[in-house]
Amino acid sequence: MKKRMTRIVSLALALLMAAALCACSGTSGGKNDSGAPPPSNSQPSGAQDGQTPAPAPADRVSVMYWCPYTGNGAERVQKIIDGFNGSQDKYFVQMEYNGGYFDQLAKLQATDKANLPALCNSSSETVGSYLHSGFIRNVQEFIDADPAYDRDLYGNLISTYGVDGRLIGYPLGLSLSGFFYNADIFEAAGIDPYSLTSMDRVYDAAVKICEGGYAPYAIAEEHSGIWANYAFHREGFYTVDNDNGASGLPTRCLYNDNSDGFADIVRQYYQQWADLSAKGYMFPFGSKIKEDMFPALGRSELAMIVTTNSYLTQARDAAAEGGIKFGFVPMFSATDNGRQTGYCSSGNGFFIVDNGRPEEQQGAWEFIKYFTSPDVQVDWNLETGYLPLYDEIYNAEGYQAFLAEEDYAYVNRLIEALQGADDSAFYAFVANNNEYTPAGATCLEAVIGGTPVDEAINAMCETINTAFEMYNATNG
Amino acid sequence: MHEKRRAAGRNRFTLTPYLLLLPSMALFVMFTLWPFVKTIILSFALTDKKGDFVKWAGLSNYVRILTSSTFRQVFGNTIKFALIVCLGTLAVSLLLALISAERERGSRLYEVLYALPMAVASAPAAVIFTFLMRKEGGTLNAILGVNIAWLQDSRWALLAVSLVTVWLSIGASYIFLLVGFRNVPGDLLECAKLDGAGPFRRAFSIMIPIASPQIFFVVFLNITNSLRAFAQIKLLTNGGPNNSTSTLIFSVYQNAILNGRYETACAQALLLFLVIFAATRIQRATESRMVFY
Amino acid sequence: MKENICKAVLRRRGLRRGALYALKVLLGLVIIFPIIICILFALKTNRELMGTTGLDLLPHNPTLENFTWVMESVPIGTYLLNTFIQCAIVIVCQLAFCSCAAYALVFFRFKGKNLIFSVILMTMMIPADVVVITNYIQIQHWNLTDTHLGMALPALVGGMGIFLMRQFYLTIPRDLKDAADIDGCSDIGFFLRIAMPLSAPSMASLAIYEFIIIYNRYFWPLLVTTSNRMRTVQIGMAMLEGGEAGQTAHVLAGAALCIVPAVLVFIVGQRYLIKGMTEGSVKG
Repeated sequence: MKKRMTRIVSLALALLMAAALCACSGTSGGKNDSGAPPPSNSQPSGAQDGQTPAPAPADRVSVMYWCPYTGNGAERVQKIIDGFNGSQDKYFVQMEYNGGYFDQLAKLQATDKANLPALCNSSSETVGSYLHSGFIRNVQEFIDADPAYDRDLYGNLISTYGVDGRLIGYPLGLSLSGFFYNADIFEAAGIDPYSLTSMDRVYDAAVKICEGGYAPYAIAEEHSGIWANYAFHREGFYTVDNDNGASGLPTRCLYNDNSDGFADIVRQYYQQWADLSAKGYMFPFGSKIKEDMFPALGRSELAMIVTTNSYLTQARDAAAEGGIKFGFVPMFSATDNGRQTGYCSSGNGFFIVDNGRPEEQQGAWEFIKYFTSPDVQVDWNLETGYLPLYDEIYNAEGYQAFLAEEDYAYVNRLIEALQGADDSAFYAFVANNNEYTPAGATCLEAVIGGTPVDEAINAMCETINTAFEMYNATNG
Repeated sequence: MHEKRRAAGRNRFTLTPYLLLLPSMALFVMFTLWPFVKTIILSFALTDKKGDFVKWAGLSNYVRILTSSTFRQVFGNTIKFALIVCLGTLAVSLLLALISAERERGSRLYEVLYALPMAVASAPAAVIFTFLMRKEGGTLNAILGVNIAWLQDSRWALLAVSLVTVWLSIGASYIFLLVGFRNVPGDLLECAKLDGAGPFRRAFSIMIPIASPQIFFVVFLNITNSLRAFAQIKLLTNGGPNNSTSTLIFSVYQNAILNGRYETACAQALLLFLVIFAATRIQRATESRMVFY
Repeated sequence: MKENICKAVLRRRGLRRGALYALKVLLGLVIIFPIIICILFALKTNRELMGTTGLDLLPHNPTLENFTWVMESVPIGTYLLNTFIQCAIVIVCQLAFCSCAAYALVFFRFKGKNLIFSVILMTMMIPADVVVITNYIQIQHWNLTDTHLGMALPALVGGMGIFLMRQFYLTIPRDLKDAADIDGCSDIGFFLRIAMPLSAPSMASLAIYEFIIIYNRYFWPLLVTTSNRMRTVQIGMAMLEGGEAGQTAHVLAGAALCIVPAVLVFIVGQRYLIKGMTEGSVKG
C-alpha cells in the first residue's frame, strides 16, 4: 500500500515538474526570439483576440501605448490604432493593458525608464498626478514644434489639461458631469430637469419627487468624491490653495476656509446630502452604478443619478428594459448664488511618457493627432457617448446627423453648455489625487452615517492636509 | 527534546544540510528577507512616491499612524473581520465535514459541492456577491425578507464582506477537516456506536478531539488568510462606507500601491505583522494545551 | 468490513439514508448557490439584467451571446492556462524546496539552524504588498518581466511551506530514521524514499494553500507581465469590467467561464487529493 502511494506521488511529482519545466523553458524561449515576428496569420488587431499584437515591422518605429480601457472601449481604441498603423508607414502603435488608472500610475512609477511606453492615457482628474510625475513630457512641447497644428479646443479642456494655457496632456474623449434622469418621473412630478441648476434646487426637487410618491428614491450619486468638487468648481471656488494647484503643489485644501464664504457653502452642501439620505430619499451611497443604480432608474424606483454622460450604454439598456425615457443634465452648482460659468471637463486624456526615445514620443504625438482628428472623433464619439473636443467635430456631418435623432436631443444641450462655458472651472491639480478625491467620498459617507457635518469636514481636511504635507516633504 | 536526540547521532560536519537549504535560502533572502529588512528600515524613514529613502523620521511614522483618527477603527475592523471569518469558516466547514465524514455511495457528489467555492477566485466572487447583496432587488434581501443595504450601510458592510470571505474559505477548510475526520480509526467509531453513543456524542468526544491537529491548522490558516485578505474588500466596498471595512492590510495596499506612501505602508505592515504574530502565538499556546495526540 | 455494515445499515434504514442524502446534496446546492446564480445571470442580456430583481432568477430568453462576446474579446483560455502553469510551477517548486529546507532543519544539526528557523518564522507573515514593488524592480533588473519564471520567482519558496513541512517531519518516529541509518540508507535516500512519500498529506495541504494564493494573485502578475499571452485570469476579469460602457452580463459570463475549468480540474483532482491525504498519513 505504502509503496503504491510512493509510486503515485513520485509519478505525479515528476509529471508536474516536467510540465513546469516545459512551461518555463517554453516562455523563456518565447522571450528570446521575441525580436523576430512569430508565424502568425492574425490581423494586426490581434490585441483583443488573444494574440499578442503583431510586433512592429522592422522598418517602423514601435510606439507602445498603455491603455486602461477594457472591453468594448479597448476594441474601439484598437480599431483606431489599426487605422493609424494603416494610414502611414513610419510609426506602429501597439496597445497594452496595465491596469486601471491607479494601478497603471503605480506601474509607470515603478518601471525602469527603458521599459516605459511612449504613450498612456488616464482620467481627467489625474492630470495633477501626471503633471508632477516626473516621467511625462508636456504635450505643449510637441504642439509648439508642430507648425501644422491649428486646433481650437473648448476652453474647459485647456484649463483641465493645461496650466496657464500650456497643455500637459491631450484630451481624447470629453464627458461632462451631471445627472441622468428618468423623464417619466420628472414629467409626472411636473419638474423641468434643466431647472435644477444648483444643489438647493436639486434638494427641493428630490423632496417633491419622494413626498409626492413619484418614486421611492429621488437621487443617487456614483461612488466618488469628484462630484462635490465639480459642484464647488461650478460654484466658482477653488478647492485647494496655490490657485487650485496651478501655480504650485497645493499645501492645504480650502473646504474649511471661510475667508470668502466657501466653508459655509461646503457645509450646507454636505448637510443637504445628509438630510436627503436621512429622509431615505437618497439611494444608498456606495452602491454600484451599473449593477444597482441604472437598473433602479429603469424600474422607475429612482429619479436621477449624479455621474458623467459617458454611461450612455447603461442608461439606454435600463430605459429600454423599463420602457421609460431618459436624459442627461449637466452639473449643478452648490447654491443658487453660484457663478455657474464653467464646467469641469470629465473624461480621458493622453500623456506622452518620457522613455528616453524621442522618436517614439514623436510617434505618440502623431497618433494623438490622428486619434483626435474630426473623422476619427465622430465615430469614436458616436460609439462611446463622448462629446466633441472642438467645433470642427461638432459641425461634422456625421455628428450632426446623430444630434438630429430625437433620443439624443439632450446632447445638443450639453454641447451648448460646453460652448458657452468659460475656463474658470477645472479640477484641482493634485499630485496625490488618490488621497485627495476619495476623502470627499468618505466625508459624504460619514455625514450619511450620522457624523455631524462639521466634524466630518474637519476630518476630511485633516486627511487631505496631512497627505499634502507628507507629499511635499518627500517629493518637493 | 525529540529533536535533540534525533540529531545527536550525527555530530560529524556535513555539507548536506547547507546544500538542502541553499535553494530556498537564496530565494528567501532575495524575495522575502531583504524586502522585509527594507520594510523595517523604511518604517523609520520618509520615502518619496517611488518608495526611495528620503530622510530619517525616527518613530514619527508610528506616532502618526497610532494617533490618527481612523487607526482605532481600522484596527478594530481587522480584529473583527479575522474573528468572524475564522469562526464562521470553522463552524460551517466543521458542520459540512462532520456530516460527510462517513463515506457512502454517492458521497463524492456532495463532497465536491461543499468544496467547490475554493475554485472561485475573489474577483468573480465579488461580482456575484455585489449582485446578490444589492439593497434594491437583491436576491439575499428577497430570501431573508429584509431590506438592508449590505455593502453600503456601515453597520452591515463589515459583516457582509466577512460573509463573502467565509464563503471563499470554506472549500479549503472543509477538505482539511474532512481528511482529519476520515483519518479517525473506524474501529474506534464502531466501538462507540456499540456502546450506544449517538452521532453527536461520537462527533464531540471522538472525532473532534482526534482531528484536533487539523482543526487547529484550519484555525491558523484562516487567521493568517483573513488578516491578509483584501481583494474582495477592494472590489466589494473599497474600504467604505466611512472606513467601516478598511482593515490593516487594506491600508497597507492603499498606501504602498496607490498613495505612494511607502513608509506608512511599511510601518502598518509591521503592526500587522505583530498582530499576526500574537494571534499565532495564542493559537499555538492553546493548541499545545488542547490537541489530543 | 465497514462497507458491509454500511450495506446493512442501508438496507435497514434505506429510506432515512435516502432522505439524509438528499438533504446533504441540497445543502451542497445552497453552498454553491452563488455559482448557480452567476451562470443563470450570465445567460441574460444586459438589458434583461437591468430588470432582474429579487427571486426572478431564471433567464427569460437564455442567450449565449455574453459567452461568445467574452471568448472573442478576452482570451480567457490563455489566461486560465497561464494561471494553471503558474500554480503548477509554484506548487512543484514549493514542495521541492520547502521539503528540502524542512528536512535539513529537522534531521540535521548545524550552525545557525535556530537562527535560520526563527528568521523564517518571523518573515512568514509580511504582507506581499509591501515587498511587491521591491521585487518588481529586482525582476526588471534581471530582465525577467513578461516570463513565467519572473512571475513565479518570488513565490517559489515560502515560510508557510517550510513551517508546514517541518511540522510534519517532526512527527516522523525517530526509530524509523535510526533503523534506516543502521540499514545504511543515506540521508538523501531516507529523504527521497521515506520522508517525502510519508509527507504526502502535508504536501497536499501545502499544494491547496499555494493554489489558492496563486490563483487569486492580481497585482503582482499585472506588474510583471505586459503582453496578452502572459496574463492571468484575475487580470482578465478586471479587463472585462469595461468601465462606463462595460456590461455586467459580460463580467458574469467571464466569471462563469473562469469557474467552469477550475471546477473541472478540481473535481478530477479532489478525489486524489482526499484519497492521498487520508491514505498516506501517519500518526506521530
